[in-house]
Amino acid sequence: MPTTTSQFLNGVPELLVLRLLRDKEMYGYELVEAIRAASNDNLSFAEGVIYPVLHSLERDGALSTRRQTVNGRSRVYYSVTPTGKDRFNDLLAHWQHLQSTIATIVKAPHHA
Amino acid sequence: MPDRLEIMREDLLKAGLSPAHVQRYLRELAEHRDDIVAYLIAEGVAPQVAQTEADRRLGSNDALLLPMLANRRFRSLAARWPALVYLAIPVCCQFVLLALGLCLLLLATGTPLRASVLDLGNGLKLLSYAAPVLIGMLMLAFAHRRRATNAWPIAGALSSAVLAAMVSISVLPSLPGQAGEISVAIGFPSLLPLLITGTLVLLPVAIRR
Repeated sequence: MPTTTSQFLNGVPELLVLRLLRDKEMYGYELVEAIRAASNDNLSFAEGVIYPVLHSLERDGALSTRRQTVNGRSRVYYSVTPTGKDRFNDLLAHWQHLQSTIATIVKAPHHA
Repeated sequence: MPDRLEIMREDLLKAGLSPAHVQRYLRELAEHRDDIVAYLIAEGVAPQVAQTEADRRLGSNDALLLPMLANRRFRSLAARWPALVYLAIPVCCQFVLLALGLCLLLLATGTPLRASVLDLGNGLKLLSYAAPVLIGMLMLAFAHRRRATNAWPIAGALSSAVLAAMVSISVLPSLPGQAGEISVAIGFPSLLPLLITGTLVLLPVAIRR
């Protein structure tokens, strides 16, 4: 599980990508559209930055790729590997822990 | 005006990403941009406006470059260990080629090719001088493709040239009543072969300038 301070919120893009790819394999544009739809357009980001995240996960063995030509256009499809599923579970547990910690801090009475 | 993705290619290569990885990243970005354009045009947006909007949605050059440059794992082997790739591996390859050539020459003495062992020996000598030139040129081309600095490739090419000039191969064919001899000696580099191979190896660098 990621625990270092530098990874405080670093796992969020990976978490979203792994969650959405867990259901079905997708190519980059399709994945960005899926994030858009799943977040009701609340998450906005430079769409191209999805690829460094995908490449990094692929290097970690969390994603596998296959190239397929659809309507004359070559697409790289990404899918989650068993390592990716474990990584997703770790990131989810980390995120839930972080969320509950923040909630505790926010709700707790503080005295000046 | 050059496409912004082509401008990014130079930055990515200079940062040490492998050409194959850069090619894949830029192709995915180009395909992504095309998808956005196609979607917007289908929605009734004018092509020129769709192109501008697609570029905006894709992200600024900095946004697209920084995650790739910040991740050291994306850097190629040649960028992380230039001394290994441009110096150690070529010199090792040269040793292996030489050893392989000598083994084949020795094996040939036990075959009908024994009669031509002197010619084969001369061929091996030629190979020992040609190998560093070819390997050096390959390394320089390899480095150029990666936009790497020339320091390590030149060091590697010159080391190969020095090694070739240090190795001396001698073949004496067997005569009636006298055994033949194949010998290899490593000594101080011979000046003329060193000058010739060194010049040939560095020729591509001089031409490029």
